[in-house]
Amino acid sequence: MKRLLAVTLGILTAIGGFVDIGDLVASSLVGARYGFALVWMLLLGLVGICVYAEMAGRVAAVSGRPTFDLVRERLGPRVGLANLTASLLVTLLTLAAELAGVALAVELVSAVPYLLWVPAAGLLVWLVIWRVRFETMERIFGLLGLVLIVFIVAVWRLSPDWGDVLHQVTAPKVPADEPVPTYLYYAIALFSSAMTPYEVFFFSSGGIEERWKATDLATVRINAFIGFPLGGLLALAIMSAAALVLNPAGVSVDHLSQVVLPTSVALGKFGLGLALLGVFAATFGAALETALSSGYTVAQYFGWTWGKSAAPRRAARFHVVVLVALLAGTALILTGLDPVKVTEYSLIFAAVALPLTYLPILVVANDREYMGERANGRLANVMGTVYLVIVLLAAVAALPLMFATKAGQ
Amino acid sequence: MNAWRAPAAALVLVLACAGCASSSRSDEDYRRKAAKTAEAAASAVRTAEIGVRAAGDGKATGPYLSALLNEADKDLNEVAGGFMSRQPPGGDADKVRERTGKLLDQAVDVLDDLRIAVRRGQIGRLPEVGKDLPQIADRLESLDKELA
Amino acid sequence: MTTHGPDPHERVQGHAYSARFHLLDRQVVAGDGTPICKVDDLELTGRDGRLYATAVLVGPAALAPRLRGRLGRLVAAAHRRLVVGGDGAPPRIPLERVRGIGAAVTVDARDLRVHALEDWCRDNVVGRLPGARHAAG
Repeated sequence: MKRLLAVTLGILTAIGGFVDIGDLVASSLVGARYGFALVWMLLLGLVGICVYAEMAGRVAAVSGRPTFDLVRERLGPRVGLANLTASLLVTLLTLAAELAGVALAVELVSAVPYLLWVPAAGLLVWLVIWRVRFETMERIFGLLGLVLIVFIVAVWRLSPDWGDVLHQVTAPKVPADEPVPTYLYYAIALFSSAMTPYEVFFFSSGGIEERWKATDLATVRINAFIGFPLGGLLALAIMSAAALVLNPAGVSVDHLSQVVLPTSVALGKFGLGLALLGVFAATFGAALETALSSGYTVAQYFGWTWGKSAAPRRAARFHVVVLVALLAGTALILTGLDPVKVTEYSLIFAAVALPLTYLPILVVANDREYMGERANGRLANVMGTVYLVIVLLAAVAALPLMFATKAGQ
Repeated sequence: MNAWRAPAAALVLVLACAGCASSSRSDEDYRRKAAKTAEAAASAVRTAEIGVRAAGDGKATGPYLSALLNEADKDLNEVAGGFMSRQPPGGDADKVRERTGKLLDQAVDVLDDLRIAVRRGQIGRLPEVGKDLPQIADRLESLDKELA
Repeated sequence: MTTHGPDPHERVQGHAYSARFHLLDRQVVAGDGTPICKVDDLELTGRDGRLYATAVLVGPAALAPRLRGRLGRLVAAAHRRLVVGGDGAPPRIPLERVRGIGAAVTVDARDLRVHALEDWCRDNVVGRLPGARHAAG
């Protein structure tokens, strides 16, 4: 049990990357549209975030410096500010969408329109940040998010032909009636949402909130190598459930209600209830992650005192940023914007922020003045460099593909 | 800073073009549009079909079904409205419009009835109200195949 | 351009600090690790024909020139309009206060006040909300 509790930071962080509201819908949409033909991209993104989360966590534990600190230090104030702007836009748009996601999950239980729940969701997120201990917060929402395991049970109950599934995963084919650019667009969407920048901001800052030291490297590693794969597994289960139930019926997924439909078909009311609870916890956890990340990035760029572990009075500007982010997110969703579309468009900004976030981590993780003998080994450097190239390719291709496919229509 | 202007202008232009609905210039365009419409409508109808089947088996709750069917109905109405408001360019297009329109009307009727029933809490009646869903979805799908 | 640590005589041979790589944009922390500010710029003073770094400069007035271009002018202009009185010079931390230069720059933070905005946020926004004095942990 103690071991499980030690990985909750990794799990909560991964939830924001793999099963937040945008990814819930995207995974389901991809499963319904392409079956198992994009599972490889999910796995590629998963390995990438594991590599960089471990690096960012190790740097935080050894040198005490969170990721955005390094961004400004290595890239200078000007490029750092460009990254801050882009990252903050991604994070804010995602935060807004998560608040809507929490409200949508409640709507599916209560039949009361989600817009009425949005302000309550915003207030509740703020209260948790204001009053709940960091460790308690990550345990409650990290572990509750794992209720989404119900999707794994659903897949198992649907008893697919596993040999056929394995074949579709290992020899992916673009469906005959689907254009290739759209396939690539969704591939990049899956990849960059797995590697969204706010994950490493939150993970490294969370490690410092938990007072990780150089002696905690084992904790860093089990968080990166167990926590994140657990998040990825949930996304995989959601995609598979859609591939088994919605793909044969030719359903295209646009709404959260369609995402949980396979659990209802496979497991009935109880499974559906658990799925909705899991969606609530996951979107709420992602809202906490993005709200805190807004504060972390701004405070770390300007060098302000930050952190939710100390009394709010001692980190006043940090808490003001978090508060403003929550108010802005709530206001944005109350305009009636489609929350799923919001996360899709935040990809534009993620494309800019991704390379500018991962390059400084790789550079500093190699700097022996910071890291001493904890600097990157050969494996970490090879993987880090390979992924930096992939991230760059994805960043370059994201925008043209988005316009060419009209955002995946 | 001036270096930013040209890319920014290009971006605005591309966004503006992407935002405009392409108008149908030929019968061929119109056919393709009709096929897309049939496909999207089939998706909404199939969603409702799976939901109604789950309701019949006692596998889904009232508030959930209400949201699911409401959204399917809204999606379908949007798709149908978008297609019917399009100007058919020629004689061939008129025939396509009539066939597609008839099918869309049937689908809209059933989904409207389902939404009304579920809002009134008549979960038990859903399978009866939605008994034509599989057949409508089949016809939409074969229309999509034929036109595409 | 090399600059010196707190006491030039204590410097280990061959361990010069580079202003660009060891100081600029580095985090400044108090002795207990609490983040205070960034090294937004350095104050250089000429003596005996050489330049010595004499203080860490903090805040938008120090950062704006380093952002360069229109963005820098914008930040500087916005800052000028928010400051009443004074000469608009950025707050400084004399280099005598620096206790160490590592992954962060550690300074003696006693009675150090470099951020008016922090004070304002604390007194007018965050401090007024219930529970602001208690750590959530």
